[in-house]
Amino acid sequence: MPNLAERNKNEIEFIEQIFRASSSMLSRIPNIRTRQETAIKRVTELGFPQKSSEDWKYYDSQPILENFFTLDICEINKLDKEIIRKHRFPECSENLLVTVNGHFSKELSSTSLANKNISIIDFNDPEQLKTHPQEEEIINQYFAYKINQEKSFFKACNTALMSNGFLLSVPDDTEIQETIQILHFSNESCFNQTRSLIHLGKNAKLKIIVSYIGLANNHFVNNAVVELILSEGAYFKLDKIQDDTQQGILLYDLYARLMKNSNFEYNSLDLKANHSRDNIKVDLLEPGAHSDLSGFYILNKDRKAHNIIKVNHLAPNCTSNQLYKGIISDSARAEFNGEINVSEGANGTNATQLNKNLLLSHNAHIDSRPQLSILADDVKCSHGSTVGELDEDEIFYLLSRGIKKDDALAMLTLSFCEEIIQKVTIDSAKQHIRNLTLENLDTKIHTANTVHKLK
Amino acid sequence: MTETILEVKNLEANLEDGDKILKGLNLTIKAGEVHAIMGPNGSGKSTLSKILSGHPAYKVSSGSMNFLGQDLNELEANERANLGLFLAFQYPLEIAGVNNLEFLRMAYNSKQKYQGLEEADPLDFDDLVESKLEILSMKNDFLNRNLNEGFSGGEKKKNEILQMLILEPKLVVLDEIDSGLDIDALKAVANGINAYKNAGNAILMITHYQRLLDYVVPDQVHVLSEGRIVLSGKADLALELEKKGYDILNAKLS
Ligand SMILES: Nc1ncnc2c1ncn2[C@@H]1O[C@H](COP(=O)(O)OP(=O)(O)O)[C@@H](O)[C@H]1O
Ligand SMILES: [Mg+2]
Repeated sequence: MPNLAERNKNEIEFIEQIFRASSSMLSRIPNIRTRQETAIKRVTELGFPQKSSEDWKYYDSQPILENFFTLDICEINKLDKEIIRKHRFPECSENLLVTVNGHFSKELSSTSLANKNISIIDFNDPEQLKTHPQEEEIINQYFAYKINQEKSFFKACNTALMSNGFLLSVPDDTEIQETIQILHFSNESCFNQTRSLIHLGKNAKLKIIVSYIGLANNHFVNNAVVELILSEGAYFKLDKIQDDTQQGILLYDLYARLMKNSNFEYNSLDLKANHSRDNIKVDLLEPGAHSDLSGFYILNKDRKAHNIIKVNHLAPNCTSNQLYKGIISDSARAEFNGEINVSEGANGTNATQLNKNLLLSHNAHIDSRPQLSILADDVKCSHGSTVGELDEDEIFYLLSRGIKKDDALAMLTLSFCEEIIQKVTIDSAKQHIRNLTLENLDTKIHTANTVHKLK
Repeated sequence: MTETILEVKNLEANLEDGDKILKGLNLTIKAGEVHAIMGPNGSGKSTLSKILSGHPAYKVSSGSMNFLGQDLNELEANERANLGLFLAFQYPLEIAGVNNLEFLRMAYNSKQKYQGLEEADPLDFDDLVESKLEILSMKNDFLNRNLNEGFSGGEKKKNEILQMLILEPKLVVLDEIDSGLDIDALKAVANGINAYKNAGNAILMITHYQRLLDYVVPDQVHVLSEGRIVLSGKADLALELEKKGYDILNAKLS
C-alpha cells in the first residue's frame, strides 16, 4: 500500500476495500489481469477526485464516498426473465445483450446473436479466446488503453474491479442491419463495475441502444466504462438511456478513438438517476473522422447531472458537433462542461458546440461552460450556451386553442427535447423516453410571468 | 332579438406594470355580424385581440368584457377558447416537435370535453379535417408537419383558418389574416371565412386593406386610434380610408 497519510479516513477505508476486493476480481485472461494489476496501482496513486481538480469542481463527491464505502462489489448476476421482457424494445427482442450488476450473462442474452457476424467475448473466459485470435489481438491492443497513465480514479477502479465485462466486435466490411440492445441492470445495493469494449473493423456499421436500469431500492453506484474503436470508414450509432432508479448514482465514462473517415453518432438521454456524471472523450485521430454528440438531461427534485465532454481534433479535416439540452426544475442542478480542443496541425477542422437549458424553477441551477482551444489554422468553430424559461407566447398559443395549462406545459417541454428524441434509432424507445420525460415533469413549472402548478 | 355575442364597455388595459394601451374601448357584436377594425400601426389592435382571448401579459384595469353572457375576466384563456372564442394570430407561433394533426385533435377534444361530449373517433376526425382542408385548398401533408414549423407566411395563416373551421367557434378575431398573402392564398382564406360564417356566429376582422373586405363584406367598420374606437361606419368607410389614409380622421373628428 502507498502512503495514504494525508487522505481522510473514509477515503482510506474505501481504497483499502478496493485493494482487498480486487484480488478476487482478477481475470483469468493474462493480458487483462496484468492491466488490472496496473489499475490497482493507479487507484492508490490517484486517490479520490478532489474538488480542486477542474473536472470535479462542480461535483460534491463526498456523498458518493459515504455511499461507497458501505457498498460491496457485487458478484450476483441473477435476474428474473420477466423483468427483461419489460425492458427490452420489441424491435430488438432477438438482439439483446444483458449484464446484471456488471456481469455479462450469456443465459439472459439472445442466443440468435451468435448467428450474426458479431463476436462477443467475456473478459473472464480464456477458453473463448483460443478460437478468436483476432479478438485476442483487439483486447491486447485496446482494453484499458494506456492504463499506466490513466487519470480517472473511477475508470481505474472499474478496470481493477470488473470481472465479466465484454468485447463486442464487428469484422471489416460488415454491416449489422438490426439495432442491438444492451441492458445493464443493477439490482443489488452494490458498487457495480460495468465494462465494455466495442470495436468496429474497417467500413463496419453498427447501431446500439443501451439502457442503464436500476432496480435496487437502496443506494447503489453503477460505475460504467465503455471503450470504443472505430476503424477506417466505420459507422457507429450509440443511444444511451439512463433509466436508473432515483436512488442510483451513475458514473459513465466513454472513450472513443476514431480513425480515418469514421463516423460516430452518440445520443445521451439522462432521465432518471439521482446523481449522474458522464465523462465523454472523443479523439478524432485521423483525417475525415466525424463525431456527433447530442443529448438531454431532465432533472427534478434535488437530482444532479454532470456532463463533461471533450472532443479532441488531432488530425486535419475532421468535423464534430455537440448539442446538449437540459430541463431543470425544483432544486436540481446540472453541469455542462464541454470542450473542443483543436491541436496543432488539425487544419480544416469544423466543430460546433451548443448547450441549451430550460430552467423551470427559481431554485434550479445550471453551470454551463462551453470551452474552445484552437492551435491550428483554417478552423471553423462555433460554441455557445443558452438558459431560458418556457415561452409565455407559446404557452398562450396552445391555451388559446382550448388546451389545458398542464398539457400545454408538458407539450412545450417535450417539444424542447424532441429534436434529441428524434435521433433515437428505435421507435418504441422514443415513446418510452417521452413517457419518462413526462414523469419527471410532475412538479412546479416556472415561466417568465408566473409559477404554474403542474398536475 | 338577435343574440349579443360580445359586449365590451369602457375597457382600459395596460401591460403588467406598464403603459396603458387600451383607453376606454366600446364594442358590441351581435350574432351574424361582421365587424372590421382598422387603424394605424401601434394603435392597440393586436392588444385588443389578446386581451379578449386572455393573454397574461396584459391587465384589465377597468371596464368589462362580456362574451355570451359571461365575464371574460373570470375565465382562463383555455376556458374562453372552449366557450367559443377564437383568435387567429397576426404572427402564429412555430412549435417544434408538436405534430399538426395531433394538435388539432387535442384542441378539438378539449372543447368536446369542456362541453361534456365524447372525444372524437380518430377516423371520423380525420374525415372532418380532410373536408376542411378542401375548403382551403390545403394539401394533406400539412397534417404530418410540426405545428407551423417552417411554414411560409401564407401557410401559417391558412393553418389558423383550418383550426377555426375545425373548432367552430362563436366569435373569431382575425388579426391581419390577410397580411402577407398572395392572391390565391387570399382567396382560399376568404373561402374559409365565408364557409365559417353563419347567422349564429360573428367575425371581428383586424385589417389594413380593402382587398379582404371585397370577399367578406363587413356590417360595420371601426377605426381604432390610441387605444380607443374613434370612428365607426358602414363598409364604405374602409374604402374611403384606403383612398385617403388616416389623415381623414383629423378632419372627421374635429
Ligand atoms: N408585450 C408588449 N410589450 C411591450 N409593448 C407592447 C406589448 N404589446 C403591445 N405593446 C405596445 O402597445 C402598443 C399597441 O401595440 P399593438 O396592439 O400590437 O398595435 P397594432 O396591432 O395596432 O399595430 C404599441 O405601442 C406596442 O409597442
Ligand atoms: Mg397588430
